[in-house]
Amino acid sequence: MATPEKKSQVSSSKSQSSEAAAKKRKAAAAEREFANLKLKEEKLKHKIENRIPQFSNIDPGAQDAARERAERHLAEIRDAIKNHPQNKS
Amino acid sequence: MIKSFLRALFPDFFPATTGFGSAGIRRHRECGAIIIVGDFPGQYGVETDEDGISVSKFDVRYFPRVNERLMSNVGEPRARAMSDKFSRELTVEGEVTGSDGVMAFTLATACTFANDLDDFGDGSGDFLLDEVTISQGRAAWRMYYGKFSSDPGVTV
Repeated sequence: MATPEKKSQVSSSKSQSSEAAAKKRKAAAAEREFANLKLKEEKLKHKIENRIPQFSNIDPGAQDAARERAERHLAEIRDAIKNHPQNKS
Repeated sequence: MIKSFLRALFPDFFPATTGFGSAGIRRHRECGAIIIVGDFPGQYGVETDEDGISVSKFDVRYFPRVNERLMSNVGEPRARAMSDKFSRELTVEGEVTGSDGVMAFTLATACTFANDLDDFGDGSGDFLLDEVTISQGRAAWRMYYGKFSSDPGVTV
């Protein structure tokens, strides 16, 4: 049977390890979030350069509208990448 | 009213009007030109047409195929097992206009579309045809309803 002193040692080392695990999880989540933003940036660039010019709507303004929307989203994503803690660290 | 009566009687003396509000402008608008008034970045309508149909609906569902909760001793979730990439389900609807594009898809081949299918995730996995319904009705257009799905690890 563990003495009270030993018990407290065990519980403090347990909380330390769970804190470290939580930190690691958060760092992994931030990394995933950042990778997702970079992926979105690539997808939007690809859409603007390759897919939108092939759009075949009856409306001649549809391509311009789609490009404008995609460029706006791209600017938002680039802003989010710039301000992401992963980028600053 | 008198003018329209005279125009009907003597069309040569009353040529069609031109400029804003004319028949030409109306024809253009009927062809699908949409003007969004105000600084609103939203999208109206399906972004681009699909070959073979006049697309009226394009729904994509992104979800992790595995999403299982691990329950605690009191029945509360304490962890989850999740796929790290999205699976996708697509529903396409529209009036049949031809035999190419979505009308030419078949089973067990990779189906490609003009509209966005990678708003979420990395777009991995091919889209496979699950089912199609072609609908005809009295006083209605011949309609196409297609269902497709994609899993990240499945490519043709």
